[in-house]
Amino acid sequence: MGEEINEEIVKELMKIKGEARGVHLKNDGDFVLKEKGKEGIEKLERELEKLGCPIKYGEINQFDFYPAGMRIVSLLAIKKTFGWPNEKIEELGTYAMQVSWIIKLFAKYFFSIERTFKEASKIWSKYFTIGEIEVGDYDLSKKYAVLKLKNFNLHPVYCRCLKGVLLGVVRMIVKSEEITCEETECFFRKGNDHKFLIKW
Amino acid sequence: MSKKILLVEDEEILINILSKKLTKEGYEVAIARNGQEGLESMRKDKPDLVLLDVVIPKMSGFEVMEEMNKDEKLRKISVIIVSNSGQPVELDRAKKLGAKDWLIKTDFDPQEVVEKVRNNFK
Amino acid sequence: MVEKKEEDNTQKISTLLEDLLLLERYIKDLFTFFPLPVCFVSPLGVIFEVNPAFEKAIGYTSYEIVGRPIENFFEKEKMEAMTKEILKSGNIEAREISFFAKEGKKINVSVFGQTRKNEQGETTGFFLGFFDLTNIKKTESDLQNTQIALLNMLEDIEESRKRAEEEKNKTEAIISNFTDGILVFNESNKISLVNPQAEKFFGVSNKSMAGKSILELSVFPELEPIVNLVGTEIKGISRKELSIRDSLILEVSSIPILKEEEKIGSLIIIHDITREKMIEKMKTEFVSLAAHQLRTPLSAIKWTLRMLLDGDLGEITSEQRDFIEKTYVSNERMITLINDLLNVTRIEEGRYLYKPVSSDIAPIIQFVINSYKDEYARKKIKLDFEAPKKPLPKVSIDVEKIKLAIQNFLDNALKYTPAGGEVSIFLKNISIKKEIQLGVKDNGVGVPKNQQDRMFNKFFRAANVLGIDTEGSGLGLFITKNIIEAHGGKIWFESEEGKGSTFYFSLPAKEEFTEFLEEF
Repeated sequence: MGEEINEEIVKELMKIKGEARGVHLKNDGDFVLKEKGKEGIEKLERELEKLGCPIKYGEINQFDFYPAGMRIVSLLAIKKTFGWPNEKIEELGTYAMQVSWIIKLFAKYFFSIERTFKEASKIWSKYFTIGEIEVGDYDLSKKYAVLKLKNFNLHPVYCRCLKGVLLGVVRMIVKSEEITCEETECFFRKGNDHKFLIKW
Repeated sequence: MSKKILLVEDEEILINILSKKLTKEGYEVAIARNGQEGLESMRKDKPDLVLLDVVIPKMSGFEVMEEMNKDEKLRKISVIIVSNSGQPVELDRAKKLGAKDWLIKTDFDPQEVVEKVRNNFK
Repeated sequence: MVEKKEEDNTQKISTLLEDLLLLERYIKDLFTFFPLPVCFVSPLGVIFEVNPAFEKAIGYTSYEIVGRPIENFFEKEKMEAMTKEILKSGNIEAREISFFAKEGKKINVSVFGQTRKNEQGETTGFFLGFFDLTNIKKTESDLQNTQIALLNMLEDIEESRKRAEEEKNKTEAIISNFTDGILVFNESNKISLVNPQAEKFFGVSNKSMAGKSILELSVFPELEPIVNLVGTEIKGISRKELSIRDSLILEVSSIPILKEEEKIGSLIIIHDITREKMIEKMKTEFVSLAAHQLRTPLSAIKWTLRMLLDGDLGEITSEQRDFIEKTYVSNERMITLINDLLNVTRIEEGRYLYKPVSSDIAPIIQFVINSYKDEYARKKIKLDFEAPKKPLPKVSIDVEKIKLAIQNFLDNALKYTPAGGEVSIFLKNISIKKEIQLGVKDNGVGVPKNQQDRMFNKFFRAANVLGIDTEGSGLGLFITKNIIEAHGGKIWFESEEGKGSTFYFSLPAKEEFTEFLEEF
C-alpha cells in the first residue's frame, strides 16, 4: 500500500473494522496546529473534505470512539497536505504521547517499566478496539525490550506513528538520553506481526 | 593787767602755737591738758577766757562746760570751744551749753584765734 | 427488544462521553488558570504534565518539558533528594531550591510536593508546585538592609541621646553648683528652675516655688523683696541691689532670654555682694580714718607755717618767705583734699547730712559770686551774673551745701578758662517743671566728647586739663552731683572741646512757704 490517498482509498479505509479513541485524531489536530498554525488546520480540513472525509478537528471528542480507518485518513491527509516525511509522523506520535490525556489518566502505570509492560495490553485496549500488544523479550539491566503488536495491520503509516508513540512512552518511564525504537518486524514487510525493539 | 586765758588742749603742737601766739599778743596763758586739770586750774585761778578743746582726755569739753554751769563761780566764764570737725551737732550743743564762740580746728589759722579772742574781750 | 437495549446503551455511552468531555474541559480550565507553576511527575522523576504557568515560569513549552526528567530544570542533587523525600513521606512543604529557566536564568523558588496513589495504594507520581521567591527574597534583603540602617540610626540616636544627657548633666551640675542663685522663668513667666543657691538665699525650697508666676511667689514672705524688685514681668535687663537680713546684700540682675528676637523666658541671677559691700564699707572707713588722722598733722603744719609767715617766730628773709609760702599753699591743697575725701566718705556712708531750709537762692548765688570777684579779676576773666527780673520761688536747701555746689561750678569755670575769657551765670525759673535752674557758662577749654560720660565720677579728671591744673582732686563734681541730687535736683552740662562748657543744675521749687528742720 502506498502513501497515496484519494477518495477511493478513503472509502476503503473507512470500511476497516475497528475503532480508535478520538484522542488520536485530536492529537493530530493539535500537532498540526502547533506546526502549521490555524491556516494549516484549515488547509488540512479542506483537503479532507475534498477526499470525502470531512474531519473537523475542533469537534473531535477525544473520549469517543471513531473508525480506526479515520485515523489513517487523517495521517495520510496530513502527509499529503504538508508533504511531511515519515520521520515527521514519528514525531507526531511522540508528541501525542506527551500531551495525551491518556497519559495523564494512566500515569499510574507509568511509574515503573515492569508495570508499564505488564499493563501494556490494558493500555492498548483503552486506545483501540482492535489489536493486542505483548511484551516480548526484555532485560532491564541490558536496557532493551521487544514489543509485539498483533492483528493491527491497518497501514504502514501507522507503524511509523506507533514507533513514535512507543518512543514517547518509554521516555516517560526510563531516564535516559538515548532511547531508540526500531521496527524489527513489520507485517507490511513480510513479517507476521509488528515487532518493535526498544533500547535505552 | 593782761587778760588770763586758760587753754584746755591735749595736742602739743597746738599748745605751742596758741600759747606762743597769744603770749605775743600780750595775754597770759595757762595750760591744762585734760578736762579735770582744766576745772582744777579754773577753780584755782579764775581765767578771763577758756579756750576749750572738745576732744580731751578724762573729761570731754562738753562735760567740762556742764560742770562749769553747775558751779556758781565758773558759770560766768566765757568759753570758746575748739571743735574738731565743725559738725553742726557739736556746734549746736556747744551753743546750748553756753559757748560764746567756736573755732574749727581743721579750718582755722592762728590769726583767726587771735581775732576771736580779741572779739570776745571787746 | 435488543434494539431498545442497544439504543439505551448508545444513549448511556453518549451521556458518558459528554460528561467526560465536560469534566476534561473543567480540569483543563482549572489547570490552565492556576497561576502558580504546577507539574505532575512520575515516580521515576519524569515530567508528565505541566500547566501554562509552569511553562511560563520555566520558559519552555510543554512539548519541550514533558518526558524530561525533573532534575533537568532544577539543582540536580537537591531535586533528586527532594524527589526521594516526596515519594517516601508523601509530601513536602516550602523547600527552597533554585531552578534554571531558559537561557540559564536562576530563580529561587519555594517548592511544594504531594504524591498521588492508585486504588492499590501505589504511588503513581507526585504533583510539584512552586512559587517564585525572588520578590520575597528581595523584600527580605531590603528589610534586612532597612533593619541594619535603622539599627545604625538607633545607635546614632542613642549616641546623641547619651551626649545630650551628658550635656544636660553637665549643665545641671553647673547650675546646681553655681555660686550665684539662679531663677529661670519660662515663656508664661512661671518658674521653671530654681538652683540650690537660690533656695539657700531665700530659705524657700525649689519644690514649693516650681511652676509659680512672680505674683504667686509673693505669698512667700521671704521672697517679697525679690517680687517687689523684679516687678510682675521682666522686660529689659536690669540690675538692682537688695538687702535681706543684715548680713546678706544681694545684687539681683534680671535678664530676658531671647531666641531670635523672641522672648522665651527670663533669668534672674542673684549675686552675693555682701563681701564686696563690706569691703567697700571698710575702704570708706579706712579713708575716713586715714583722713581724720591726717588732718591733725596737716593742721599743725598749717599753723606753724602761718606763724612763721606772720613773723611770730622771728624775722624771716624774703627767700625764706618764698619757700614757706609755697609750702603753705601746698599744705592748704592737701587739707582741701583731705576735706574732700572726708566729704566723700560721709556721702558714701550716708552721713553727709542736709539741713534744708526754705531760702531765696538768688542772694546765696550773689554771695558766692562776690567771694570769687577778686580771683576772677586777677585772671582777667569777665564774670557776669544775670539776675532774674521777677522774684523766684523759694527752694528748700541746705545753704552751706548749695554754696559748695555753686563754688564748685565757679571754681571749675575759673580754672579751665584761660585769661581774658568770659564766664556768665544765669538763673531761671522754669515754672512748667516747677524748677529753678542755674547755669554757668564759660568759653574755656571744654570737655572732649569721649570723656564726657565720666565727668561726675570720683577722682575723674579729663585728659585735656591734666596739663593745665595738676592740682585738682577730681572730687568736686562728684560731691556737687551728690549735693544736687540729694536735694531732688538734676545736674548736667554741655561742652565742646576748645569752645567752652556750660554747667547746669536745677532744684525743685517750693510754692508754699514751709520751713522745717531736719534733725538726725
